[in-house]
Amino acid sequence: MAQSDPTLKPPQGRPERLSALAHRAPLSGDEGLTMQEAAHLGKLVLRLDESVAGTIVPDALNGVHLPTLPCCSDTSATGTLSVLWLGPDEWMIVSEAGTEQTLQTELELQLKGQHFQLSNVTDYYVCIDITGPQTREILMNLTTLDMHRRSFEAGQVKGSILGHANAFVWQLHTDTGATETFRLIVRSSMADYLWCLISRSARLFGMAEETPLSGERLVI
Amino acid sequence: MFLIECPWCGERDMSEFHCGGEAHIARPDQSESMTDEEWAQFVFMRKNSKGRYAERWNHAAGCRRWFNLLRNTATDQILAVYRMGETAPSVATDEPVTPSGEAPIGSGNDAVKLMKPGEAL
Repeated sequence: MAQSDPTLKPPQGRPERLSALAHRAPLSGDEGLTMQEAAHLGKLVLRLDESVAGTIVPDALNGVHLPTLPCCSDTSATGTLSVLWLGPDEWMIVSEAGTEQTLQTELELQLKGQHFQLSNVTDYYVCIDITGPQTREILMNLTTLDMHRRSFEAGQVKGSILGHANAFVWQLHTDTGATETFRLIVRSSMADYLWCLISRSARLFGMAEETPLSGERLVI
Repeated sequence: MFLIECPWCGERDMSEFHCGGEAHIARPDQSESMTDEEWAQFVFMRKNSKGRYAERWNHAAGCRRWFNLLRNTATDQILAVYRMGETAPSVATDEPVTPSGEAPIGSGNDAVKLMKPGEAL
């Protein structure tokens, strides 16, 4: 029997780690409708006293402020780092894949002296991106949130229930006009359920049917 | 289904919220010297009044913060929403009528009968 080798690298061409939705191929449909996982994005949850949050801008955040307005987010000029408001003293920092550990170390150094908590939740949450002119209608099927443009604006992030899953719905900052992108942040154990739920809801709006990569079923 | 206004997130559907029972019940300081009756009073006994009732609610699916909510239990009308640590505001509401003259607490299913503020029984 072969001994386990901790230095063993994955076989050539295989990804080093599999995301929760690695078995689901990206979907696309009419009028530029697409749905895919934004895999391995770095995610940190920061808890900090709300009275000091407005004044603290750690250098590690590239000039991004901690939003103090409910349900808002702030994104860096390069678009690589965002801070989402999850609660009055709670924020999620979303960064590029693979940068979360460096960011966590830097933030912990720069917040030294404050009463704070910083947790790495990169593998705990999964991001699903839906782009297209009718993404609001697709989500309206699944949630009680008011998805009208008047009440759900670009950059806003709201926690709610989609089907049976708790998720954060975030409309990305970079979007203009008819092609809006919504990013759903859901716990990894509910990611496959939510993917199936959305793909079924999106079928009504011209999304292609789910083709299994390896024989898995569309389970809701 | 009705809407509840979270002090932070604004109006959301009630399915996002979780009720935590009666508000403004302080945990006793000297718990080591309390009798069983006093403990039972703190742990189990609630006003359960009909009409105006202060409750704790949690926005479980949203910002996950606790807040207080003043509700008319006879009509489900939400009278006020205020943060933890604040005292309940005085808001006028229709109190349920009790035709036989018994106390307005725990008095049968008169939920549909209303008494306007200031109206005599």
